[in-house]
Amino acid sequence: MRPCPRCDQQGIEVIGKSPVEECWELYLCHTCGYVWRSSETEELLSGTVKLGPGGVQSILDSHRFVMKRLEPQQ
Amino acid sequence: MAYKDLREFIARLEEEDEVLHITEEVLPEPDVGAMARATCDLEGPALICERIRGYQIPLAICLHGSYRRVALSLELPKQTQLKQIFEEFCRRWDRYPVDPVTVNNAPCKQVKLLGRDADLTRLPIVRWNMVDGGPFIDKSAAISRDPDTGILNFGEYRMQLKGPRTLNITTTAVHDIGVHFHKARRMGKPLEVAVAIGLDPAVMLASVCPLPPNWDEFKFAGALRGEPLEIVQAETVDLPVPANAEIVIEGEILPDVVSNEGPFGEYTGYYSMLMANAEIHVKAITHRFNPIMEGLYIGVPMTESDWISHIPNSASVYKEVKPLVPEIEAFNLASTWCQVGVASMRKLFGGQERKLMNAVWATPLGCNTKVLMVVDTDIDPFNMDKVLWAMSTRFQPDTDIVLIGNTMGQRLDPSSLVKGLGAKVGLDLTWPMAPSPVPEAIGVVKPRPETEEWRQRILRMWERG
Repeated sequence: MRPCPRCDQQGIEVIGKSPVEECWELYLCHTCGYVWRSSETEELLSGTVKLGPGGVQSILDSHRFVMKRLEPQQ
Repeated sequence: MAYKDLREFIARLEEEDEVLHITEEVLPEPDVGAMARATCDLEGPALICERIRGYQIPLAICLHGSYRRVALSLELPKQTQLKQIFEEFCRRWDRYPVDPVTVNNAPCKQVKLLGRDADLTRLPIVRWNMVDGGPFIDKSAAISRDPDTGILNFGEYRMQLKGPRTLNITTTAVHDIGVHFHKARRMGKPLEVAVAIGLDPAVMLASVCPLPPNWDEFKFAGALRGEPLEIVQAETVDLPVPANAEIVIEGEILPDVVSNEGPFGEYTGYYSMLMANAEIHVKAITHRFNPIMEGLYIGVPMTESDWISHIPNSASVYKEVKPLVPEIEAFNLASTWCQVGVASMRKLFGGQERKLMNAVWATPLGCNTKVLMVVDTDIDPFNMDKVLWAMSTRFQPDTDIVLIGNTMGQRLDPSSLVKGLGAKVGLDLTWPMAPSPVPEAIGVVKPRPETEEWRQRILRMWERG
């Protein structure tokens, strides 16, 4: 299976197959959360904004910051 | 008479030559997003994709994708002018509340898929724009209940497909569902949700309409329809759902589970950021026999997102401002330009237009209005040619501009350097007018001559106790 088109990482899960058999599969990247379909060609996916491991971590750090702000005041 | 469901609306669109059935097989990507973009550019018909490769369920798109179809969704003639649609929407707003009625035999329960049988990947959920982080559900009513007050809410929120029983959802605290989620999270509890898809078109207008705090969208939907909304209890969560929905997804948002969501091509015409967002864990999907999925194309204006939200957003700000500034006559939150608004007012005295500007900027939605114009009541604020005429003939840039920096702004505004902060400009396009007259001064109010004597007497009596 190809790596994630967005972050180039392995760790891809098949999350679904077409209800009408063998038309496509849906994939989820466990590193960056990107979801794509096997019927999407390389050309279609080429517009995807690339995201390195640092980018993924910065998103998670940003979320932790927001959640901390939303905690009830002591 | 209100539409009973999505199918009655589609039938009406067929009578009006406002819908095209695409019967050839199309690809989920890129065909669906591309054809939606094309019909928005044409201000063309709604589209129903009968055969999407790999799917068994058809997908209806752009059902609110023109002002003609927004008018039809309120059972008005399709050539109704924008200001008349706005006025009718406001009249129906005043009918609030119209309580929903519970029914036993709900079409949305004709097929029940519970547990592992509930599979989101069976629904035609597509990637709308090229850089979207995945396929998105973007036209629905997501229902939740305030954990403190029990008041119900439904609204339209984007949801990224992440698995057969997983969706991402944005839970920023500016949205009601975000408020509910954060309250539940502080209690350490999951928030139950139900996502209703394929609704009668007036219910979708209610779903996108920002309402005053603690208003119940089910009762507002009844007001917009002119008839109570039929509801039924969901299967696995303690929430009511529209009985005639095509599809209902039930689940819960867990308090501390997040994953990466987005980007998503947004109404500004730019992509949202990639964010860590909460997840809905799906417990059940129910649907009608032969259900119809519904989706909305969104991107550079004009798209269905602009058409469906324009009148509800405008009415929402107008109704918030009216009690504070009764002189306001109409408000156009022209979503084509995202953050531009035009208010018309029956101005009596100079200075009232600035009071109106401040009132608009104080409302929950109007606080995002970056450029606000005020016109006299003889100008239709929905007619930009007339607004420009007022700008040409009633406006002087050196005296009629109000500028405020560092105010709360729309986080999605790509031009703001600090996200969430921005400037506001108010343009007074009203006819110059003198301020409220002050009576001619007739002198200072002096004390009576006897006052000093009384002061001494009061002091003596007070000291004696």
